[in-house]
Amino acid sequence: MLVLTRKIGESIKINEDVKITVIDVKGKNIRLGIEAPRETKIYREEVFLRIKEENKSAATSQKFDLGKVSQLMKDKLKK
Amino acid sequence: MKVETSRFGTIDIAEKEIVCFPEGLYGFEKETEFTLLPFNPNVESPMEWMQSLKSTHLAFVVTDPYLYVPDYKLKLSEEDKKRVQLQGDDTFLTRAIVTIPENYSEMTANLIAPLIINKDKGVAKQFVLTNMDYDTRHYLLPEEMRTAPATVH
Repeated sequence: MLVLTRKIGESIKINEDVKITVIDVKGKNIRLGIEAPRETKIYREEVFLRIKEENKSAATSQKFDLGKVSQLMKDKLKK
Repeated sequence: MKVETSRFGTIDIAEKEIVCFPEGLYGFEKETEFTLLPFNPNVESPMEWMQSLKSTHLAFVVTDPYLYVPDYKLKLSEEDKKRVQLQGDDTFLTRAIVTIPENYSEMTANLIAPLIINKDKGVAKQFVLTNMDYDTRHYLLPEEMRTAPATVH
């Protein structure tokens, strides 16, 4: 991993079009500002972990009454 | 082709019914082939099963998120479209994976990570939206329908 030290207000650039600036540091929190082309996808990393966990719960939660679940879903759609 | 499944027994599916996720799903990176099946053969349902062709026991419940969240905001970029071989205004299916807990009425849909399925090409991908309005657990039923636990008689 490349490790760089930056001060508040300083930035790093990735390629020519992504710029990440240290906006503020308060205790253990660091605020970052990110400038990137519109189509660049920027995520908090935890979201991927949550999705993995959710996919796993979805895959294991499978003992249910098909008819009852269908009925609930249809009841909702009628409203 | 014949596929063994633990829920549906042996099923016979046509080549064009195979949906390929080249990268798998998050947490299931090695599961690259699925097929969509009716949720309940006896009753019409807004849900479907997405059965793995590799693991007999693996099937997800999926639904069309627009049925429940009519203003669901999902915009595919040109780059996104390329990932599932979509061109121009090609049509595609949008599905959200549903988690069904013991109390059915608290079932949720994963709106932040929808499945985009190019039915014509048989290619799909689980995308992760950057829209912070959505999360992995969006209740499908409104609060007034969620109170009573579903009991089996």
